Amino acid sequence: MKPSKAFSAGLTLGVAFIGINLFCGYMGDTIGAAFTSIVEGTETSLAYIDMGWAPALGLSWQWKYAFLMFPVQIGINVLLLAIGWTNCLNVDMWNVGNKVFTAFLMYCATGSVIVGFAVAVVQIVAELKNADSTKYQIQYLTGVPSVGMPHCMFLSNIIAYPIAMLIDKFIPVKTTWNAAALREKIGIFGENHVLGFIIGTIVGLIAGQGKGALLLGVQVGTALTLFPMVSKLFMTALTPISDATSAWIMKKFPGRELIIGLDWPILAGNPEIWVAIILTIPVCLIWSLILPGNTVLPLGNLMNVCVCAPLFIAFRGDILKMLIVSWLWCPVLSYASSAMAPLLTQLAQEAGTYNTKITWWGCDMAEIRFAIYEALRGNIFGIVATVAIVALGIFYFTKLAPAREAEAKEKLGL
Amino acid sequence: MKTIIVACGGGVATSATCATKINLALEERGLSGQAKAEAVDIKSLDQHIKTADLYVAITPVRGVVQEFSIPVVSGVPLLTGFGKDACIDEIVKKLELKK
Repeated sequence: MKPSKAFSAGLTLGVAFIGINLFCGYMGDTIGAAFTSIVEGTETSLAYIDMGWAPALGLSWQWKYAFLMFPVQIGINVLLLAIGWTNCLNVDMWNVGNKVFTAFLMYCATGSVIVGFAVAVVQIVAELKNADSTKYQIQYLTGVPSVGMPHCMFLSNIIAYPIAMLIDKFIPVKTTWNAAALREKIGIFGENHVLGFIIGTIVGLIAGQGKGALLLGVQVGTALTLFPMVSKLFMTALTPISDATSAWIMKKFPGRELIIGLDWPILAGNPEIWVAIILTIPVCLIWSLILPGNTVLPLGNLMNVCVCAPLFIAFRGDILKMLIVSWLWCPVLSYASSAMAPLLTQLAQEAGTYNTKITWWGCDMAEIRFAIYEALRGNIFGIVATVAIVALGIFYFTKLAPAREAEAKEKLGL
Repeated sequence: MKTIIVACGGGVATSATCATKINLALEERGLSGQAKAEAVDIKSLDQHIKTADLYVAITPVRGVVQEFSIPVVSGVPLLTGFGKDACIDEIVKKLELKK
C-alpha cells in the first residue's frame, strides 16, 4: 500500500469514529431528551436508546484492545485452513467487529481480557465451521457456488433449526405468500427515513410534544438515514487492508478449493426476509412497552436482520413460521439489550461520546451472547442456558445441518 | 461524472466494500474522473435507481440477478475475488468509459 493511501485510510477511520460520536450526541439531544420527559411522567423505564448495529459495532472499535482481533481472526483462520479443519476463508472484515463486541461483553462480565478473547476465539471457530456446514444451502439460495456465511447471526440457527424441525413436524403446511408483492406494498415502512419519522412522531406524541412531535419524527428520520452514511466510512477505511489480507492468504493455499466467507447481504435479495422484518416492528415495540424490567426502546435496529435472516434459512422462506418465531424471539432481544445497556453506555462515555444512554437491541446472536455473559457472571440460569446451547450446538453440527446440506445438494442436483 | 450504485442490507458494510473496490479499480485504470461508485441501502433502492447510471447487484436469488431500468452488472466477483477484473471490465464497458 502506498503511504498516501495508508494515510487516507487511517484518517478515514478517525473520521468514522468522530462521526459516530457526533451522532450518539445528536440522538441524546433529540430523541433522548423526549424520552426523558416520557420516563419522568410515567411508569415506563425505557431509559436506553437502541443505536442499531452499525453504530454499535462502530463503537466496539473504540475498546482499547479491539484491533488485536484482526490478527487473531486471520491467524486462527489460517491455522484451521492449514490443519484442514475448515475450508472457509473469511474475507468479511467488517464483522471482525462482531468478535470485538463479544470479547468486550465477556470482558465486562469477568474483568479479564483473556476470557473475552477466548470466547471470541470459540466464536471464530464456530462461525467457520458453520460456513462449512451450510455451504450448499447458501449455494441453493443464492445460486453462487463456493461462498459461505460465517456471519455469527447464523449461529442463532443452533436454536432456530431445532425449533423449525419441531414446527415443521406439527404444522407441516407450508404457507406460500407472494413475498415480492407484499414487500412492494409495505416496503416504504422499511426505508430508514420513513421508519424513523413514524417512530419519532409516536414518541413525540407520547411525550406530549404536540406539533413538535413532527419535528422529532424528522429528526429521528435524519438520524436513521445518516447513521449508515457515517458507519460506511469504516468499510472505506478497512477495504484495502481486507483486500490485501485475503489475497495474501489465498496465495498460501494454491489449488485449494476454498469457500469464501462473506457477510450476509448476498441473501438480501430475498423479499421474505424484509417482509418478516417489517411485520415484526410493531410487535417488538409492543413487547418493549409491556415487558417488566425492560429498559430499552428498539430504534436503530428495528430492521432486525439478525433474527429474520437466520430464520429465513431455518424455515426455508416460510414467512408465517418466520414471523411467529421472530415475534416470540423479541423478549430475548429486549432483555439481552437491557443487560448490555450500561456496559455500552460506559464504553461510549469512555470514548468521549456525549452523555447519552445507548444500547444495541437485536444484536446478532443476542441469546447466545446473553447466555454466556450471564454464565460468566455466575448466574445459574446463564450456566444452564449455555450448557443447553452447547448441547443444541452439537446436535446442530452433527445432525441437523448435515441433513439440510444433503437436502440442498439434492435440490442442486449435485 | 457517472454514478454506479451498489446496494446491501444497510448500505454500510458489504456494499461499501464493493463500492470502495470499484473506485480503487477505476482509479488504477485512470477512469476515476468519469465514474464513481456509491453504497446505498437496498430498502431505498428504487429511489437510488432513478439517479444512477449503473447498478452493481450483489444479491442474486437462486442465481438470478434482478432487472432494472438501468444497466445491471453482477458484483458477486467483487466479493469473492474470483473474476474481479472481468467484472470491472463489464462495468467499464456498460458505462462506455474511455481513457
